[in-house]
Amino acid sequence: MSTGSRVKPYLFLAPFLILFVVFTVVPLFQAVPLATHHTFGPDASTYVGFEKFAQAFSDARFWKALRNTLVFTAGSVFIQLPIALGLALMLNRKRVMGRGVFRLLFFSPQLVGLVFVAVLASVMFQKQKGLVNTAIAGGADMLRSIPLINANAWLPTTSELLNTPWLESLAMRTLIISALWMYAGFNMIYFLAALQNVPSELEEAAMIDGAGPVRRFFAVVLPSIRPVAVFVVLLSIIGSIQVFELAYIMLPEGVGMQDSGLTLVTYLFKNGFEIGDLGYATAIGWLIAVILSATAITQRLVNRQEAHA
Amino acid sequence: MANVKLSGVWKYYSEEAAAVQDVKLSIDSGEFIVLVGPSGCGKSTTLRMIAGLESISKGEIEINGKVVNNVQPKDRDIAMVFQNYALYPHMTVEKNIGFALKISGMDKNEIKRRVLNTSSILGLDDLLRRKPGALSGGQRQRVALGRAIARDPAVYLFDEPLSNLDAKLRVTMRSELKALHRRLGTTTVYVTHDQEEAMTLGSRLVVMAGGKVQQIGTPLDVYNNPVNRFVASFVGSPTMNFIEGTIEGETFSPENSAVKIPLTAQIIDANALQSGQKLCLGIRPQSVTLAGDATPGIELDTTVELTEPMGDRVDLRLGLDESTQILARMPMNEVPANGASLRVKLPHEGMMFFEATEFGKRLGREPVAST
Repeated sequence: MSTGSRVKPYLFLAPFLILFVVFTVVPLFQAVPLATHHTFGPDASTYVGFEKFAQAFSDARFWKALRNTLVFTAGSVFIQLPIALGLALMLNRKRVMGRGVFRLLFFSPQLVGLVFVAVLASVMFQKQKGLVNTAIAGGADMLRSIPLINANAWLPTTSELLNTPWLESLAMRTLIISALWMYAGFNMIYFLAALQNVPSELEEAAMIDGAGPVRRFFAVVLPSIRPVAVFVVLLSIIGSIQVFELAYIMLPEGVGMQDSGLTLVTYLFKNGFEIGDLGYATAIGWLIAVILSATAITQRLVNRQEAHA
Repeated sequence: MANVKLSGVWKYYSEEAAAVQDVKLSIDSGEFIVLVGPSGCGKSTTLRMIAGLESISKGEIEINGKVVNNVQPKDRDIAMVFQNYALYPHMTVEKNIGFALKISGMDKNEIKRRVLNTSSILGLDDLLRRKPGALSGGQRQRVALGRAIARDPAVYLFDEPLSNLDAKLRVTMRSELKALHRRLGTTTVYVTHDQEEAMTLGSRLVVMAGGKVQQIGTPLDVYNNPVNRFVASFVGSPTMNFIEGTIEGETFSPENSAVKIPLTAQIIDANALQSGQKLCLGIRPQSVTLAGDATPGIELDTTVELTEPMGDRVDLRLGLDESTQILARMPMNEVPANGASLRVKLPHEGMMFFEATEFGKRLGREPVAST
């Protein structure tokens, strides 16, 4: 082989490799010492050992952020994914009118992008004029107009309903609902693709074997799409633990009132780029990395165990 | 065991497109019926209507005297074996075979007994703990069979069950299926596009094309007495020779050819041929013999254009002239050289005449009532 042909492949790889080294590998190595320093801005730093990690464990805001992030993750896995799967099942039936239109509708938030969805959602969840509160208040008014059920006795007043503080105090609920809007259609596409790969004969065989629709789903369909489902769950967990933009754009100060919507990455961002304590931000980053790695390893272990079973 | 009856069964998806047209078929208890035809002929759709996987657009299907048009597949007392086996990939062989029994709420010990019984019939004993992914094609096929057998249904439905196997295994599984049917005696409806499989397995064949039943009969009946040109061309291998041409007096003149094939008065009478009639002469390659023996027939001079020796026999492509060729399959004594001239005989008995269209009716023959 000539020298030229030996060098060539690396030339082609170079654009990626240079970016990868500069923006991923170097910061990763820098992050090791950085987590053991107290910094104030980029220039002032003192070595503090593992103090920054200790600081996290005794920091109530860190725990609050961790709890919020886990709530958000649970919302993604236990609310959003089942809904995504449900949508996929509905669109996967043989005769669905306008399947393509629905697919596009559910997927469309992905097309306009997260920032747009977040801004739109924050407008919708506003007090007084927001679409959500006015719709709820309108619905409540309709209930009030029904005699006999005495809705006034158990419904909050219209002004209370219009002032529901979604973005301020109910931040996690708001984020979960907005993420549902943003991502359910996206995950639905994964599920739909998996469902379309389940041979129709499998379901037919189960039908002849006497299995009803529910049994067919749990005994035949779900196991068949299991690899994709596991993948989607893992992606959702990882994505949810990293939730930041949605909260940062939607919530007042990016965190809501009394940290009601503070997430781990928001907290990392605040410490690193608003307070200037890059050491603490890096330590939080490492803790997030540990949580993510643990998730991935658990998933692999579970998978391996089931493969052997 | 059960009989199955299809009365005027139709399947259409729109006004124009009928996948299955007016199928009338009466299957006796214990019979092995084979639906055979090229892709898209409606055989699988017919089977799926019997299974209940497709709705019936018009007509009635009865199983054991009971109309099942609106009966769920699971309540029809049938078992079906699919082309791609349709084994549940995450279940072991044992669970696959026992799945239907478990759903029916059968006692655990009874399930175990039936699964073991089935697996010993099919030689699956050592594979019970494996999953389908760890099985060979033939083994999967056996498990699919086992799933059907374990249920002991009234009717077996097979949808091209052997077509995913390699040629050798296909032949083995074919004889196993036949032996199995002899042993169990259960009514079987079997779909295949392979006419050889159909001939060897079926107690009766239903030859289908274009959504319609072309002919129903025993394999030999269909082979020897095809009702139309399609059946004649579809059944039998190699395919029957067809020569289109015109009757001129007592000779048959192939189209675009100077060759005249002399006919006898007897043939003309027997087949009700008329002078000037355009038609199609059919003769099976196996019927063509060397000239010189005593059987009545027409002798022709031909040129050997291609030889395909196969050990015990040889396939010869023979030219009557430049535009007309026939294929002959003869026992192999001596393989003639390419270009050699060869005098052959078309025996009267082997000659069939059809209207000159794809589905042209057989001439001079009372159509056999199809039931």
